[in-house]
Amino acid sequence: MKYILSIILFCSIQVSGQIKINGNVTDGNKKAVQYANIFIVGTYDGGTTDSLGNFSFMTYEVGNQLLKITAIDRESKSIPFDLAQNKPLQIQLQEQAKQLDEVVIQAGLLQAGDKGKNTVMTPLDIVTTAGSMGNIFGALATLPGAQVAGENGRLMVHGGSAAETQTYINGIRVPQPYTSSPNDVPVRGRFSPFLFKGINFSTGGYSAEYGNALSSVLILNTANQIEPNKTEISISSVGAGLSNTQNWKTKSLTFNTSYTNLKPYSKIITPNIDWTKPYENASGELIYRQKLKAGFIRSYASFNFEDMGLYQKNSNYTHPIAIKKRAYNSYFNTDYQQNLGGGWDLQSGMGIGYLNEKLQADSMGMPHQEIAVHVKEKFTKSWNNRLKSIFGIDFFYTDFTQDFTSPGIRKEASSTSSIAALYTETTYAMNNNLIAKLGIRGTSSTAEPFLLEPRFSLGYLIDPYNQLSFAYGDFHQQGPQEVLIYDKQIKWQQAHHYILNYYYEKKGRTVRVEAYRKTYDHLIKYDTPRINSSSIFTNTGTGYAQGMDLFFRDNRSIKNLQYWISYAYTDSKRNETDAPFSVTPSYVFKHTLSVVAKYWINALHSQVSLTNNYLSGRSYHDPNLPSYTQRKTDAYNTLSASWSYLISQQKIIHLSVNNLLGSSPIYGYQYADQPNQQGIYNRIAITPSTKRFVFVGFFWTLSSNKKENQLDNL
Amino acid sequence: MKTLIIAFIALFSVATYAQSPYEKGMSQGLALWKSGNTTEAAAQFERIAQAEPDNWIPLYYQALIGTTTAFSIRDPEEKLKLIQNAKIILSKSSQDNNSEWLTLKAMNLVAELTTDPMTKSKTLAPTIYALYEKAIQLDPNNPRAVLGLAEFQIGSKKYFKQDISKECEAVKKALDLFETHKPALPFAPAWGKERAEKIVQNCGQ
Repeated sequence: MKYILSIILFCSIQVSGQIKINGNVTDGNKKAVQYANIFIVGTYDGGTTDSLGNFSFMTYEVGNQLLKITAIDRESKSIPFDLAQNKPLQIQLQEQAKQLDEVVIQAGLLQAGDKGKNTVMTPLDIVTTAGSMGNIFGALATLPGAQVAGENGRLMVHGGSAAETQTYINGIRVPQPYTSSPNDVPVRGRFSPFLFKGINFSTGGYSAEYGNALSSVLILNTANQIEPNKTEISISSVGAGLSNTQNWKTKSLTFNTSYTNLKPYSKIITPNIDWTKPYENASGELIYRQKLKAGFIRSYASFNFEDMGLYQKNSNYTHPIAIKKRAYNSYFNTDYQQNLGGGWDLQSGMGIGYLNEKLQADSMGMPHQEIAVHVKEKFTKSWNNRLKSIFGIDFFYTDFTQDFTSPGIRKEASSTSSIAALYTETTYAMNNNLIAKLGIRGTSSTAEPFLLEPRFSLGYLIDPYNQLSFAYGDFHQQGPQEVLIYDKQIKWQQAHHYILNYYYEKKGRTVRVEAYRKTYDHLIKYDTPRINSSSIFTNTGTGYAQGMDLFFRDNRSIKNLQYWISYAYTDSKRNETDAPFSVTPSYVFKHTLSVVAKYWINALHSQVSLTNNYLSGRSYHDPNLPSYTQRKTDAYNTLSASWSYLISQQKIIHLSVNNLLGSSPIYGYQYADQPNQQGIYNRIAITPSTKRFVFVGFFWTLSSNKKENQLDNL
Repeated sequence: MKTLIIAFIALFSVATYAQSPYEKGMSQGLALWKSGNTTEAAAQFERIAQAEPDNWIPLYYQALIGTTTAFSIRDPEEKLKLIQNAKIILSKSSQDNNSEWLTLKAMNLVAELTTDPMTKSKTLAPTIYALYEKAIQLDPNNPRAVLGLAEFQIGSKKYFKQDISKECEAVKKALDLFETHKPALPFAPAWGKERAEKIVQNCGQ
């Protein structure tokens, strides 16, 4: 009896006894995969592969089971398996399919962000690049394909004028991204670079999500993140700032105020400007963020007041002209993102910008006012890992009024425009190496009832580090406000972009080479030397821009040193505005070269940074000579340096000097409209407003826990 | 009959005294980890985690192994891979009120911060502090949360040659907590004492 029982017991164990499962795991190239985890789903039974890809393990399970194989960086696999079938398994584990979001088609794109991959700079670079003075546009000027003229401060891309770039925050247009300034004094970006987590700067061929820009779009993105409590204080040679953030778990509210006044500064360092009222700026910002169950709200509101007065020389007058400028700007931007389920995401947003600028030149007044609205709805659908589409609708409304007043005269000119646009774009990864994006944007406005713009780009990953890409697109842009106020029916200007790009990124080194050709059509021409109410406008202008950009960044070769070099060659000719024939526009630099270096000195807790910009001469028109646009300015070079010293985790001192060597470039000339008695047109050289600009600032962060650091904490 | 009873008793006692598969699996995983077989240990915890979907502990160990291994790797790309992988594991379970889980999340971010402190500290440091503080708030006696926060602060304070006596006190407090803090669940995190002892030793110098 006893024996029988034990035999039965033993037998049952034997029957359901352990069996051995073994096999081998390889990748797509038949190479062994080490450290893969193989197990029977729902049980503890499994094993790990060795360096040859072999595995074996024991199990008590029987019958048909599901076997799962996982490994870091590889697509996991489940295979049904009959345990009775006792033979070694041969398993192939493919490399993880790249998520569409991870693959970025590089043609026409420069990314700044803190992700580290596919980025040419970080948000911190903007603040620590010498010469940028914390101005987003100043730092972007050191990137290939971007140019900023010294007398203007605005961003110009691939031979396009400053008006050909549109700025967006979270996908919503910013109608007035720049501060006001007197003529020939560079403007700055209105927004603090710290607001943004990522910057996508297009050098052309951009997505169908964006329109109404001939050359480029600058897309600034804020984080989808609730901010922790903190207070930030800054005091500098030109002003002071205060910022405070309050956090309530799923919400945060930040207010930011800053005040700038150049008066004390211009008392110490005499500028080239004869100020009657040195530049003054008071601004306030409110940022609200809220996390919802399946969504996120980001709102941003800013108010800006600027005031300035100066005497400006003008070759048409013997005496300097008294200029007074006062600007009020406010901007509101809000968006709501929601996950609708089933792979659908919705972004709804709107932006309203208001600018009122009062300009007085002696007894003449030229105030202007602009209200611009953008409403946006965008749906994103992820069909699967390889296919993604966006569908969207945009509505833009702009109202612009310009007055002209002089004693006894008052003229008003205005323009209103409404633009509606529909777009869709699909990105498809054919395999892990080939990705294509096809989009189309349809725009309708009073002047152009129906415009269709196809966009196409293709990226080929030669290997994980090398990418070859191509982009093509049709782009249109409404005429500028100063034309629209006189001719509301003027057609939109047109450009076609062709871009070829090679991108290499590996372990802290980046190489980017981009060649492009842009052809322009329907450019606006007029029959008077300057735009006025009697000008006749046509869309008969044409032109082209072509060239090549080179970029090299190295964060690795020398410890604590980061540097980048960018060079751009631009060849452009246009027949536009009042030009009698095709010429190289005065805003085009044939050669630009930037070298930026940042070195971290551990012992001093300091970062020193040097930026050298070389810009070749630009063409200009000298009315004293026959023909048109016959002359060229000299090339110029500016060297800027900055030094950031970390006193503690929360305190930092920043010293920055622009144009360290005090070079005195001539940006161009302003010629008199009429010749003098000797028959010569007088001219005045346009030069920098200050020879050197010195900025000293102290920044202090107080977080509720007194632990947050300013720049670095290691 | 007698034999049958004995057999029954024998069977019963086996069931009572022998380890459950969970206990056996977890012990095996911990033993593998202790002996330096990190990949095998992580694989073991991955298997247990998928078999016990309602239990956070095996998942915790899988992510912990990834994160601690990342600290010892030099190559930034390899390092980020492991950190990213651990992050995915941490996102598999929502444990917003679990002090140990939040501590591990903070550690994972510290590992990420070390890959590029210049750029990443401004954005990551506030979140790291917030996670540690929440972890301590949830369980003031969690020695790993107290230790983690203190160690993170010591790193930056040492650089600025600031006084770290307060943080050293915190580590000493953590040492006491290691003695008294008894995990509520079997196999709940219990590591960290040796690390605390090491830091306290360095504090004296």
